Amino acid sequence: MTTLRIRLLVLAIILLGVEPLPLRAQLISPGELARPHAALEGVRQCTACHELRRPGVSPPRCLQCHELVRTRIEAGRGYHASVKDRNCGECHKDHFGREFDLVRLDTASFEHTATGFALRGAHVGVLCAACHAPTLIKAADVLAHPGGAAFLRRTMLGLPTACAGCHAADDPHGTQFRGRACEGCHGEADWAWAERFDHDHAAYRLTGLHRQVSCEGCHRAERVGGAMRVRYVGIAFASCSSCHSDPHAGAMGAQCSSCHVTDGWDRVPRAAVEARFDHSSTRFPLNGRHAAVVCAGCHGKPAPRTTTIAIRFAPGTEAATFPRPVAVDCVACHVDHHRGELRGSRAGVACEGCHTVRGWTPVTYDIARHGQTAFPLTGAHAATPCRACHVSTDQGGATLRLRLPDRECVACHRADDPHEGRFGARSCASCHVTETFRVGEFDHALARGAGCGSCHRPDDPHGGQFEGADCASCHVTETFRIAAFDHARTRFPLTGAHVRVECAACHRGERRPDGRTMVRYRPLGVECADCHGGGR
Amino acid sequence: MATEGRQIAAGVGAMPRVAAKDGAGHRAPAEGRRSVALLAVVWIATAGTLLYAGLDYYLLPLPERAYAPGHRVFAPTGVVGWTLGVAGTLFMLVGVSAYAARKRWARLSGLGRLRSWLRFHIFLCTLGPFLIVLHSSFKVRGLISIAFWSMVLVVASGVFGRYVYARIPKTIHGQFRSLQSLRERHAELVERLQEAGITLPETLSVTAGDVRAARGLLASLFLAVRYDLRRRSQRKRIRRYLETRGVDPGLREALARLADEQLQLEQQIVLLSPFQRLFRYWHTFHVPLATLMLVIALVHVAVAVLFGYMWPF
Repeated sequence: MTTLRIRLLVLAIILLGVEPLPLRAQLISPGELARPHAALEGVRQCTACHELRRPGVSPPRCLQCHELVRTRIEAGRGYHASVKDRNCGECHKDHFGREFDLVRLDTASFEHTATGFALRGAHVGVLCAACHAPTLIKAADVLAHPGGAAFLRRTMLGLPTACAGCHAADDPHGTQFRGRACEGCHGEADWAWAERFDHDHAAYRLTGLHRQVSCEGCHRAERVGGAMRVRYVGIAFASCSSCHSDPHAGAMGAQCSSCHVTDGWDRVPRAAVEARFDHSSTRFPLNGRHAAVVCAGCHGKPAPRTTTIAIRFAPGTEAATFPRPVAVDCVACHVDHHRGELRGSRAGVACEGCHTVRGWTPVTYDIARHGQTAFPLTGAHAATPCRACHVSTDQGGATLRLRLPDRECVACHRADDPHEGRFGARSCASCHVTETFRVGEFDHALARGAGCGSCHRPDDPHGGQFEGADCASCHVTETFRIAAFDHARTRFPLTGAHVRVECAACHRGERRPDGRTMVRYRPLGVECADCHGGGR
Repeated sequence: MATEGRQIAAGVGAMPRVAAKDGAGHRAPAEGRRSVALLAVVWIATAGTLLYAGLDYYLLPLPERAYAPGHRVFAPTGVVGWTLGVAGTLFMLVGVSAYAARKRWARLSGLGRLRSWLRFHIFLCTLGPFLIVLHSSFKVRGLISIAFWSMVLVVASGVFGRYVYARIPKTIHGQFRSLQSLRERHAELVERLQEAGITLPETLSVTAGDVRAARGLLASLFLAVRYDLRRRSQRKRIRRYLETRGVDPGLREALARLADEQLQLEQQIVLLSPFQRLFRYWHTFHVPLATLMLVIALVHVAVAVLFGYMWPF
């Protein structure tokens, strides 16, 4: 029985001894440490990481070895600075065997922003290893890590955050932007798109049509610093002619901007031009009424709500002329209200023969110049207003008809003729002069032998009562009015009460067959009853 | 061989009658069976639930566990893992100390039946180790692995011990019966069967070869297993034998029971001495291993407390 008991004891010791032999090194360890920590294995080294009576690891003890992490936490940089209040063991466990992965980064859920370098734009979706490559590590302390190349392949530390840290080889600008941060113009979305660039902050601001010009229109590939590069810096822009050629061949001066703006060559701002442009530098100085005319009055009409003048060049004349209209003839701009009737006349084609830039009226034409015409103005004609002869030919009455080919008196005075045409084709001038119509020195003797009727028949108010009688028996040539008629020479001398009777009491007016009135002189009855009726 | 068996049979037959209440059958009463079933259900439910809850974690290979979502819960230092360790340890401490106290302190001897205390000991000291297995999350290393495997051995030996113990005939109070009392009972049965004109043939039960084999401990174990496996067919053969002897069917059942008890007694008499020896040896195995386990577990707890895993909540 004793031997059996001893046998059993030996069996127990063998059974129990087999297991602990290889584990003597880690008597109380809960499991083998991962390979990087293998040197810390052993019951005497527990406190290299652990603090007694505190679960998990002691961060200060971890950081005693993990110097790179410690310096970064102290500097407040990198991912670990964002989790400095947490225990290392929350993420980095151990005692799970030699092959245990001490750092297992869940790349899908890792919040890269916590590292101090947020991934945005094109950086999102880039493989970790694309940036976390040994060749891109720049931090000196990381490079100096005793782990060497193997460590550099493994570590996430030591990358620069400036663009050039990784993208120096991608920089196509050469030395053009030396000393300037990439992120001043470029975002993280796409290099080709300088999303943060604002040309307004450039030395040359883009306005007007310049804003629509593609970048390549000005920034062309050329030899910059020994290589073909798009030039961004050092482009001359002091004057327009830095880029543009002058179609005026210098005729308008060097200062394009005295007329032009960037809204278009054929657009000039009215206000600016009116304020700045010296029209006397052209062949057409603006004087008189022209000085007050807006540019668009001659130079095309601006589109609605624009402040510019639309200017069109005559094809092929850009170099020499500016702008249309360029003719100095008045008719280039003005309508000839005379409808060309003066063309070929001695006054000439030019409007300025009569008109001035001070206004259409008054004209410079005067009586003296009228005297050079075929119809000099004399007598009362000199005091007659122009319009009395040169009637208006349009409704407004602004324009006068200037050419009056018929120079006979009747051309104008037909309505004034008191002779009702009785003088036929005989010239008025045979009796009248231009001073007055009144005939002052009519020589009646010139009419002798012709009889009064030859002239005065139309004047006869008696309706043929005295046919065959001599007018001179009653009238004299001084006047038709009879000064003192001697009734005694008639068949009925006035006597008695008849002397005081009014002429018209006996000589009554009556209507003639032609509608005119006349006073009845003869024949009248001489019997009393002829007038008084006698009780009939 | 055959003569030896006869001698035992004769010896048995010579014994005086003993009271029938000291029957050799160890059938648990209905109440006892119910409590066994209840404990089994509680055991399986507890162990099953906990295993199922942590299965995803337990199935992970070691290097993966640190990053598994269940690590904070089911790791040995996790909320559930830690609780399992404490609970499992307490289960075992209570299960061992209560049973040991009941067995050793006379003062407690009147408190319940020892059988029930053993049942409770087995319940706590199998469920406890299972909780410890879960606490370890099926990974043990270092010093504590000695305690762990000790525990496994203790439990395994407990199962073995339970088997041996069950095959040692005991009085209703749990005391081992003497060979003398077994023989007396056997003689009584032989006599009663003979009164009915029945003498059981040797071929039905213990053979001379059995008696010789029972001298070795291992052989006696095999023998016991063989007896257990033959129990059912033995009963059938008894009935067939009674039939061939033309026993009245009304009496056949009662006689068969007596015959069965007689044959079982014969087997027990053969195994009594080697099994009592086995049980003593087992005891010297089961208890020291449990003690070793306890000591290392204390070291384990001390280390855990020292490193700060006093309270995980």
